Amino acid sequence: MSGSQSYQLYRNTTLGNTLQESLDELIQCGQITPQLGLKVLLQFDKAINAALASRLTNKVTFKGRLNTYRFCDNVWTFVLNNVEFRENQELTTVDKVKIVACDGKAAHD
Amino acid sequence: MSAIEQTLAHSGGDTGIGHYPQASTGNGEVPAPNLPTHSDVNEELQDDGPTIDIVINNVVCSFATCCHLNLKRIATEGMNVEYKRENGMVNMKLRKPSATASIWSSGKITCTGATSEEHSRIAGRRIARILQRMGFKVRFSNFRVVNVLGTCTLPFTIKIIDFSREHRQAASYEPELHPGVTYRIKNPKATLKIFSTGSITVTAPCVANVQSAIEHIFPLVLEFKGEDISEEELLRKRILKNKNKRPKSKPVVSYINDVDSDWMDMEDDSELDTSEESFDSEDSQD
Repeated sequence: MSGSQSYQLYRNTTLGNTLQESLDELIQCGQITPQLGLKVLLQFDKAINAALASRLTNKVTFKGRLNTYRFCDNVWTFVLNNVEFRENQELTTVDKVKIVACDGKAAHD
Repeated sequence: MSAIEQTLAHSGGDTGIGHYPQASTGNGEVPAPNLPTHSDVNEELQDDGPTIDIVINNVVCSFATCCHLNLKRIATEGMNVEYKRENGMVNMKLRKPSATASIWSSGKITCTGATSEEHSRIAGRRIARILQRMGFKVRFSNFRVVNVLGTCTLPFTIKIIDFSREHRQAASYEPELHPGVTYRIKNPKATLKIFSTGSITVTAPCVANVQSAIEHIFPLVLEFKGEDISEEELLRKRILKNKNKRPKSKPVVSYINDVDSDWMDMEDDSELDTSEESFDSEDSQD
């Protein structure tokens, strides 16, 4: 009876992590139950997936050297080196970047 | 002069009498063999003649690790791996030498994409070493080269319809299925695909067989020669073919101590450098 679950991919982001920390604090103080905390996180998953899919228009391109790749359980994990991120005439270079990517089509069908 | 010598002598001054296609040395190409020379050949014609490059494109090998492999663990901990459960195997790619290994949980591993038998063996050992480092009790056993694919381009076109009629017992030509003639020989065991452009692809169980197969087919195909292809045409074709290929790769291994040892010492890593830090993306094929 878990309904339709979305990718929990975005829990390990600044937003997701701060949410989890706040929820843990509230659970510690006994102000909310752990089940409620879990429900909040599931709602977060749904909301962030929907928002990123529908409310974004900007485009970022990046180019770098592929160090390693992995494909397991339909999840791609890449590690790139010397990457240049370009967004609207703004350039950011980075030595190492790890990319975790899930299937965009599988979640929304 | 025998019939073969006569045809060779008549076909434009270039081909020498009693000359057989030689494979030139180079990366992934077959080294020059000891060719049989006809007893009454002129000395001056024995030396330099046009050589035909036989390029080895793919060597497939198979070996076993004598232990069960946990594919899930390899997929989550390994680098440069792909695991699709529906296939039941993990694909691991190596950069140097360029190869792809298909790993089954039974411990059977098939390694494809190498450009020579030696590279294939080194690639196999590197894969086994990576698995050994992950903690599996790997023992490199039962290595054998399963298939070798080589191609060569003859400097003349071939009348494949007449050729297939003459060699009905060994040749099969179905123009509606495939544009080339499939010619199988039992000794040495090989399958050749002969095209009217003069290109021939050979698949055989070892590199030596590829060589012998080309040598075997050369006089047979010469009989049905169409038009000569000029040097510039050949050069142009070669440039077009190599446009997207990588430049000559750096040596894969400087020195191998004990290639025949099946047991790999956990401590001694020097001969099988599995680190990919030295890989320069300029060398990449892509």
